[in-house]
Amino acid sequence: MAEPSGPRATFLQRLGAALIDGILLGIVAAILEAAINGTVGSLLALAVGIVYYGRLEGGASGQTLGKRALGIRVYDLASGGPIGTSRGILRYFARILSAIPCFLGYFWMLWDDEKQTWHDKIAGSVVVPVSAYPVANWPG
Amino acid sequence: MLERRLALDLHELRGAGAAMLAAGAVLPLLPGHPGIACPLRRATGVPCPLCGMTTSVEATLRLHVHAALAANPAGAAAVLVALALLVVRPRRLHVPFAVLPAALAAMWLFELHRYSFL
Repeated sequence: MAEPSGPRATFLQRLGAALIDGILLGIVAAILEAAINGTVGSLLALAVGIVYYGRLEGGASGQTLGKRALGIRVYDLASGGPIGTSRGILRYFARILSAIPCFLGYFWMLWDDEKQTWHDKIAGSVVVPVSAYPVANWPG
Repeated sequence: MLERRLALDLHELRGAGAAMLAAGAVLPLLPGHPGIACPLRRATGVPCPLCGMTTSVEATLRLHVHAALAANPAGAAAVLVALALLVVRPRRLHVPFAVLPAALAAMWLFELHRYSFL
């Protein structure tokens, strides 16, 4: 079996973080869509998601609230360090591709050499444990 | 390509298997019996290879074998593999890479037939 090039977050850590973020953003989206009817509410919820993932996963810490709770962070595979806001936003939209075939793109990390999901591959990122790659300050 | 093996981390697979078994056992007990909707089928009407897996895993865990196989035979297989990984705890598992696309293709053909696309 090919080993990844460094320590990686486990499937369960990533699942836990995704559930926490999903619940948090789901609550925000529900409030926005209830308060502002129609397309505007949905667009606002989308904007919140873009800012949340783009800013936090692309920032210096690479951590959303869910990832912070689970002690993991997004990291640039090629150079190390943060992936930046623009790639954080790209990674957010790439999640859609990962989710389309019943979330197969998420499960891909279970057999991938670098433990990357499809959105990791598109953004050139990996998810690593904070124990191996400490965060200086959050959100950074 | 054919000789390449899947980079299977058995510790990871055990964790994922345990999560799948837990979800399959708990989801039917929750109010409204939530499922995992397939975004592809919801958007286009076309099923993906993994469609029916939640139903199949839940049915397998309740020993409703016919319902499990009718939804997606891979669900029953996934339960058996997860149980084997958790109980037998093999040290290594060598799976040729070609098994993955072949299994996904077979699952997709099954689902396309199930939803009358084939």
